[in-house]
Amino acid sequence: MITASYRYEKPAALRTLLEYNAAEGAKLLAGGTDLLLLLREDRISPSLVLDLKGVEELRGIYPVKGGLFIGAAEPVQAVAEHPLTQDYRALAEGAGHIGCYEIRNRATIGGNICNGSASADSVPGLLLYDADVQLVSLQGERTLPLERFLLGPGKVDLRPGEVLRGVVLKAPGPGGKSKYYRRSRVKGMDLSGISAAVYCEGLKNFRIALGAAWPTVARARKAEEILNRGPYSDRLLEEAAAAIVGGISPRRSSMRASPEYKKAMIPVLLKMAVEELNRGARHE
Amino acid sequence: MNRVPVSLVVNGERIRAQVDPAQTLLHFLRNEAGLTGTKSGCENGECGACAVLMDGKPVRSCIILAAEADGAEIFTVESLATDEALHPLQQAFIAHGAVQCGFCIPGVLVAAKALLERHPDPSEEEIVEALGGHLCRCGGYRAMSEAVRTAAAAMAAAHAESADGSGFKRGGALEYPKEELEDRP
Repeated sequence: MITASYRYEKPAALRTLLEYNAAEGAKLLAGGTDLLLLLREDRISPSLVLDLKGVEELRGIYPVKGGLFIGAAEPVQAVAEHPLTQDYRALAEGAGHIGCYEIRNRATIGGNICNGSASADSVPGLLLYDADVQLVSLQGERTLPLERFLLGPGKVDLRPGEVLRGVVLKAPGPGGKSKYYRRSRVKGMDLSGISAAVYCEGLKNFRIALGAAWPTVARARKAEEILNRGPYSDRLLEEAAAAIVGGISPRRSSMRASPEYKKAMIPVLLKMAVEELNRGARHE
Repeated sequence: MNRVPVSLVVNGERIRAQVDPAQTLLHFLRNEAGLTGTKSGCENGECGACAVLMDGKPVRSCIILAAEADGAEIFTVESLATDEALHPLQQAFIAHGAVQCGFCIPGVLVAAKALLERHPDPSEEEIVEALGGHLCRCGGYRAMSEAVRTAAAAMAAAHAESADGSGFKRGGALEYPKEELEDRP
């Protein structure tokens, strides 16, 4: 039972949402799959729970110039199965790994981002496509790269009064494909112990993002540099993976995966992804 | 605290109420609507006992506020059976012995119903994916999966036979292939 005492509002207009959100003690409610647990455990005590699902501007998955817009209030199941996200495969797959089907029907992509979890399944795919976050407040709008929005475990650069409106992914390059792999203790209804998203155009222009390796989901820039020196070889992939493994120091207290396990799995997941993305392709 | 006016349709019946903003949909259904078929299990969104259909999709009613259900169409496990007959899924669950203590079953049944609406002839993988978030401490997963397949086959056969296209024959038990049931250990 939730014993907290708060007001509930579900405005239809973005302006009204922002006005309510500017007041102290307001807490945004998107899918509620995390918020209701916090309320039930008395870990938060908002004076106002502000349901953002009534605002049209926060909904929708549609093409925009140079890429794809996804509204913050879109359920992750919609992100997983929408025809337009299939060109951003690592995102669709990552979103499809969250919780279980029933959780995914409610949990939103905005919530998955704003929780700031290092193991957020939708975020590696977003980072692969250099996603920007669109933030709105009564003061106006600002857009910044998602990578800079993620500040640390449970911390994002969401300022008081701001609402995440949505994300914009940049369209893949010619022949660009991606893949998401994660490892968890049990298949389904578990959080990621380690995850990797890989983008490449054939065996070129690699992008790599990892979940649960660093304090935030992040791109593996050094490994990308090594791989993009080319020409691609298994040796080069091993070198790139070694650069990641040598640079991470996961905490031992994680209940989901030991540092040794994460380090052992990173090269494996990268290799699986590169092989899968180039299955059947011929390379000189 | 304010009272939130809600108007929703539960199992085909319009309900208007003023709800406490802290009340979950689960407790609204059980305590206000008197529909105790939906079970309160972990109340953390982990076990699936509280699953209901909300606008056609299975969701966990323990992590949804009643206020959020304003304007929604909800179906609970009570909507499955008619006065004359159990739903083909319920019949198949009985035939396969898929129900032991029964606590998880209301959630599993609505999840299975939604699955069969998405995939009338589901693969093993699709069944596991759809029911994978439902915890059964009696360990009846195998029998549940078989029951869903049996119900799917029965519904497809009934659909083919039914002149009115209602989906399955109402009134009277469905027949199940004998050998399939005898196969079970």
